[in-house]
Amino acid sequence: MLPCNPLIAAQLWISPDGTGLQLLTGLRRAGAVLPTLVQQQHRRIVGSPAPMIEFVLLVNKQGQTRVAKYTDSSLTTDERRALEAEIVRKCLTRVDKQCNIVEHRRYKVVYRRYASLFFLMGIDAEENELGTLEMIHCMVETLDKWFSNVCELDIMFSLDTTHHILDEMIANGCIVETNKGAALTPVQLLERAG
Amino acid sequence: MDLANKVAAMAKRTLPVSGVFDELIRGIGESKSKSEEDAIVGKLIELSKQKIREGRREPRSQKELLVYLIYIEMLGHDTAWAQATAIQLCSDKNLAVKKLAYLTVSLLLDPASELSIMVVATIQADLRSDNFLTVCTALSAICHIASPELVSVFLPQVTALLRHDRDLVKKRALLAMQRFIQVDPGVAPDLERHLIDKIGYKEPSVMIASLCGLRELIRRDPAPYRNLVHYFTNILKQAAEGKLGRAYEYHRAPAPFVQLELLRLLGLLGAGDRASSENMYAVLAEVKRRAEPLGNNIGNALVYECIKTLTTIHPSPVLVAGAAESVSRFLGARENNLKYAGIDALTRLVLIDPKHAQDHQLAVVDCLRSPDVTLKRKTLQLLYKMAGPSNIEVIAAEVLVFLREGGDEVARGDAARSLCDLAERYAPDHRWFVDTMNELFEAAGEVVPASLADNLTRLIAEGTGEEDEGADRELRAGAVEAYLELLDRPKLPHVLLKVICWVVGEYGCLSALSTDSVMDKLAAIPETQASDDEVRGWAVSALGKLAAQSGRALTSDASALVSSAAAAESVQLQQRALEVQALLGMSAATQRAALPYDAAAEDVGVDADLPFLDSFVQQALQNGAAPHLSLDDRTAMGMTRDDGGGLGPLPHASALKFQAYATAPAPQPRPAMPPPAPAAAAAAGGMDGPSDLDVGGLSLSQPAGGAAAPAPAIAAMPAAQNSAPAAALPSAGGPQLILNKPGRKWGGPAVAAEPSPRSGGASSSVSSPAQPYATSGSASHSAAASPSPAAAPPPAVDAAKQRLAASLFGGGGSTSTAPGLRGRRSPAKPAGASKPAVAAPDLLGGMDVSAEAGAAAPAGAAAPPTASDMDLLMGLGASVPSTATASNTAAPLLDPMAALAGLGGMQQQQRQQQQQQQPGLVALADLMGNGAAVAAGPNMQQQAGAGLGFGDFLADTAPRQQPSQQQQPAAPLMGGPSKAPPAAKKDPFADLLG
Repeated sequence: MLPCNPLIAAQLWISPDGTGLQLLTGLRRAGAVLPTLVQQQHRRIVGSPAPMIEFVLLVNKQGQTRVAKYTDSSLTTDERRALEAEIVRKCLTRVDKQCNIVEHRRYKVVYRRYASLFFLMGIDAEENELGTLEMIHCMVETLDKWFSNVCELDIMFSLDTTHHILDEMIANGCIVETNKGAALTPVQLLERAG
Repeated sequence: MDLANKVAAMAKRTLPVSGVFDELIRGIGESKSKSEEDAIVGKLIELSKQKIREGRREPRSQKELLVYLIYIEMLGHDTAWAQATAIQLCSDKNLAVKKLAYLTVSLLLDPASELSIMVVATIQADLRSDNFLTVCTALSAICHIASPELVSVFLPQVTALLRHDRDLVKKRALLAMQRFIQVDPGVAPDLERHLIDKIGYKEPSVMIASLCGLRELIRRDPAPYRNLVHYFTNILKQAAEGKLGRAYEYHRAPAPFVQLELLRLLGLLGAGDRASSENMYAVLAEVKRRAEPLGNNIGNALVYECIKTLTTIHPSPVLVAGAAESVSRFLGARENNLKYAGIDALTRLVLIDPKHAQDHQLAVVDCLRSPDVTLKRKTLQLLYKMAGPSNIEVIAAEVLVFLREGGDEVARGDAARSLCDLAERYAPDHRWFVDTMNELFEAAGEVVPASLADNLTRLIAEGTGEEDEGADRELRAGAVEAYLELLDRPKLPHVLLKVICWVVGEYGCLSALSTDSVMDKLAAIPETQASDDEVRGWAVSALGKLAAQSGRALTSDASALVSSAAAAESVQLQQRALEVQALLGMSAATQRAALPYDAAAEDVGVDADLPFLDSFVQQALQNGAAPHLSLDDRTAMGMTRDDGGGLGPLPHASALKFQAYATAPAPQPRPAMPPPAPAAAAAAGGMDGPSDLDVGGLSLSQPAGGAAAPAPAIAAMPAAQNSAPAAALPSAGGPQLILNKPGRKWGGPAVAAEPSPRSGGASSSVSSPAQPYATSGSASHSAAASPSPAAAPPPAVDAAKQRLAASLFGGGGSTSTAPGLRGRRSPAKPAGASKPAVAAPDLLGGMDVSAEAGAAAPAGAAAPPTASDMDLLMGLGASVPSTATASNTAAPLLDPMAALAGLGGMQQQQRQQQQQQQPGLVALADLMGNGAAVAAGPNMQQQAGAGLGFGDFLADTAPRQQPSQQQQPAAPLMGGPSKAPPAAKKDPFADLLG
């Protein structure tokens, strides 16, 4: 155990150019128990009211997850997989005429189906269900603008870009950008820079 | 395959693709099964590990690696081995790689993970970058990895970045601040000023980011921000007028998402504040006026949000009237989404004024009959809000229909809880309550809370709470008949069986059937229903009670059940059966004394000083026994360990294996016990801790312990019996029926809030619906019985629907308008179909109760105290005098019934002495624990054996190890010889007593 402040430790160990980490990785590869902050108490994020948009999911009708973004960090990887599978199963049993809202566990899930792909948003009780439904469509329109006629494979091949676009539109569980041009500008700038 | 070509081209455009990458991603897309997918993920993992080992530095390879990692994580596989690499790549010089690495880190790492601290230095360096894109990238990364410890690390730099020339950076900095407030509300005062500064910023995206941050503050405490209302109304007005620019337009609506956000903020700020609310009316009307003609989804979303806002703030009659019109439009729509919004909006309106529900009766019934579960659930929530004494029967019937349809566990649990709550509050009479609860158990036994069964048994045991023996008798007889009938049905849920066994055991003699046939029915339970040990135990106990109370012998079936139970593997079940056998072998007087009829709710007096044993103790002392030492004395002398494990330094203590049995769980769910009083603990001291007194479900007469709950609370002093209302203390345990207070049967918080709840008006409104029940009940049954609601409804269904509507919506409006409204809402239906005559009896007082609740809600008042709160208050109040009276001795936490059962063998004792005897057992146990060799007579030893053994050791449910000893339950527990002679069975505790 390092007796010093974890932050200082981190700064000592990782210089901005990453050489410190190289060392760290090497140690880890060698099977060493890292003398870092492993013993630090595990502290959960404590935002008192839950965020309004808990997750955004893109899942195809076979139940395979294509994009998953969670604001709520309390779920483990396994819990997330289980949640996704359950919700899609529920959505698949519903017919077109029924409303696009499903209550599942503590979440209210608003979903919209585009061909084989489900767009799902988990929201809290305050959020407007009809507005969320339109927000999904707004996201799809934005993706469509970027990929021109977006399909499941586009999203798969450009998973990083899809994430980036969604991040521009939804952050911290809030809708932060619905101007399609403004949402795509940073993505474009970054593509050019890369 | 032009699609594939297009995709390939697209992929090339966005990412430099290698053949392997292309193939793998395609493989994931085409995999049809989980195993195929896992195989590909396995390849991805292998490839990624190889890339990490090679450590190649060209961007293409690094980006591929990161995308692989995202896939591996997304498809549910562990990525801990690659997290360090991802963190390392965050400091890559290539911006695209850096961005992707930050993204990967945010997806792979739990924000609480220690590793996220490793990114801190990199982010800090990036925040200082000259390239604004790098800065933005770092700021978005902060949103993902921020944790309470890190807020102060980033805060100065982020604050400084608000002065950056680029709007994009300002926006991202504001969002980072919002995240800070989310993870650590303590920083709010530092950030408040920066966020407010940016409300008026010319660039909309920066302004929106500041609104998001302010929402975090306002959600936590709106009061300090009420002065912002005029800013928000201004921005909202501009947004609604399209001044944010065409780019924000969505489906002809100007900046709708900004409008939604502002409407929500206004709702938060206006709630409970009349002055702020009045400043909003104009702009709310304007937004709604502009949104209405859009006629599309987003327009409806805006209207819906307007309704939400104006029902949250101090209500304006004009706006509410407008909202009601929109609600009718929503409910009349074809789309279920709109109906859903309509029902939700109506639920809100009903809280302001219950009359709104009147106008939409048929639409609401339609939604209730919809095959769409979401819509149905929402409608039920509306009904809960509308419930009152006049329509509770119909609503309960609806909820039961929903519960019988099955479905989601959570949804059913909610519905069951709500039904319990409403039934307890508005039940017209006891009989109805019992029937409804029976149906609830039957329909949804697996989701109802266990306390409900206890409530029900207590209700039956205590009766109406009025001194009307006839009514009580009728109630119980009715319940017994109903339960005996129910037993003919297969597969009753456990919780219902428990109640049935208890009630039939306790009051079976009230049945019209002969006692013998009642016994046969009980004895058949393990065959016709569940046959696990728990159920058999209930049945055995019930049989014992029935036989003891009626003075009749068990029928052959019944005694077969008891004897088979006496040889059961479960020690607990065996215990019960042996007790029953032993008791029934005694004189009728003893039986009746041990298991008196209708005494479950009686008080049992306990004198912890045990004066009746004085002469016995005296004699023992004269014969040379060591004097009793209290636990404190023994602890002080070092004779007893404090760990509660043993009985002191007994030479054969280890042979008794106290440790193993002491840690076993309580065998059955039990009612909450009042906290142990010090005196009780002292009395129990010899047993080394109150847990030893936990006789659990062993009481002979109590399958559920529901009605036994009152008894332990009764203080020792006989005087306390008179002053302390039974169940005063246990009623603090959970949701309760309001049954304990004589003169007051039912009544919700609203009713109770009236100055004189027992006045004639209240009681008449409570009791009178009994008659309308017949008509409305039949109406709902016929409606429920009508086939597929999706099919085109024949007129008969309409009539049923209207009747249902009429009984649901009952009063509120004047009776003269109700038929007219129905007529107006259903012009296409035959006029004769609507039957106002059926509705008429229901109309009395209809919405009175909810009207009061509704009037209170918008004023921002806290929710009225729930029934259980009231009960708790009254219960606690009542308990004060009782504890005061029982000054020197508090009640030992024995289950008195169990103790009485254990004492079945004491023929020579007087009845009143019996009540005092159970502490005697404690004392005996204490003596034994002390190791004092009291030369007690064999009779006393046997009692002690019964009391101590049954109450303590045998409570354990550990399965017996040696089947050969099944006839000698105490032997293995005593650690005695495995082939004990029959004499040892009679006096199994001789060892212990020395």
